Amino acid sequence: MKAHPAPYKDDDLIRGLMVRDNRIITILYDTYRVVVEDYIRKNSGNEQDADDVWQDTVIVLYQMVQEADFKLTSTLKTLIFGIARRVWLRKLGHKGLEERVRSEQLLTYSPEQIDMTHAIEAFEKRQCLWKHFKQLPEGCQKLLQADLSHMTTEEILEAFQFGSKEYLYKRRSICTDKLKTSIQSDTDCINL
Amino acid sequence: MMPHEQHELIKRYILDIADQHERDEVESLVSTDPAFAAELEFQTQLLHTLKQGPAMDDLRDQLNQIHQQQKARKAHYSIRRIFPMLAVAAALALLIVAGWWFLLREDASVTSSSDLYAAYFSPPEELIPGLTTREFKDQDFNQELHFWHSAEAAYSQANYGAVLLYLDSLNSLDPPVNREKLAWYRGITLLCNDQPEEALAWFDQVVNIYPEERTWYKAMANLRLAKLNETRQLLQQIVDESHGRKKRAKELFEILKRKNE
Repeated sequence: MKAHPAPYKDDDLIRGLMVRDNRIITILYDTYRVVVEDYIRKNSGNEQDADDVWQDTVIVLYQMVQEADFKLTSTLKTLIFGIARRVWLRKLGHKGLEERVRSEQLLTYSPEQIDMTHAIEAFEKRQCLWKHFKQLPEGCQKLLQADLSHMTTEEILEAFQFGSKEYLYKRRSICTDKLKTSIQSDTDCINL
Repeated sequence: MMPHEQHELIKRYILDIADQHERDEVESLVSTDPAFAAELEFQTQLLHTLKQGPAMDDLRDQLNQIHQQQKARKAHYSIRRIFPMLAVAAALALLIVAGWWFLLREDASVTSSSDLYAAYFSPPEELIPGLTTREFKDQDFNQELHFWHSAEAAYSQANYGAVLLYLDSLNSLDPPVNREKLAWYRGITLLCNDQPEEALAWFDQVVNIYPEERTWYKAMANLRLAKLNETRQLLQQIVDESHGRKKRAKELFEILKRKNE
């Protein structure tokens, strides 16, 4: 595997990813994407699959490094490849093709690997939630965003010009139900 | 607890603004009420999603851009790297095409026996070999020698009609000159005059002299007449006999063989 340029250590790359530094993300791409693609191609995937897995891997890593308790216990290379393999395994699993993945290393569970799995599961759930949230009417999106912010009930009533708390509760319930129904009707999300 | 009260409790808990009493209540409900636990999980994930969703979209756009950019850069460098190889390949291809064209051109020429004749037939430099080395003097007048020299002079000027007249004159002399030699010179002259059929008739009368040249010019006359089987047979004979024209005969034989195939 090609090493990233000497001035960049794993910690530098992680700090760069945390702020979505374009230069750092390009270095990650140049250094690790080819390995991920090679793995995907050797395990029933194609170039498009490799693109998807690479994007998901970087996003999962991005979400992991945002966590306050994130600590890199292996090399970044190990972490990235571990995430990529799990992402691909789960994608194949969703298609019922999990047995096609050749590497049995996936079945070993270290604490870090368990963290990775949780991070990927959370990522998949959030992907689904975000996808369906964006499909909600704009009014619903704004209401749910306001509801899960630090705005008080009174501030929301005023911002949305709702006449009563009951009406707010009703609208909030309708929007939440819409979101849940939409997710449940999506076969890619139903098992999450 | 009313649903909206439950929702407010969850909201305060996940926004980390719940007091200790509320926190205890949430933890108690999570362990006893699966519906509450599911709703807590849903709202927790929704909160994270709303926080991270836009960043996820931005990051995805960023990754797409980097991917396109690096792909284009890679393609650019690949082209630059393989350009010398492409140039060599193009040159080779050009050579192959040129060679192919050249061969085809050669092959195309073999389709016409008259073209082959034009390529392979050349009149002998002298009709009567060695004659020019003998100096002709008027005072040593000799009719026969005069006709021979006149025929040779006419031949050198490609005046084949005159050659034939001088050869006729030689034929009428008494005592007669060598008939076979006359027949041979007539044959050559007629062939030079593009009368291959008549030439062959005279060549057939030649039996004892010029065996090598005779076979070759008979082959030429047959080629001019597009009698390819006869031509091939005569050429084969030359090749088998280690003839002085063996190389040319073999070459022409191969061409006619390909033409036949």
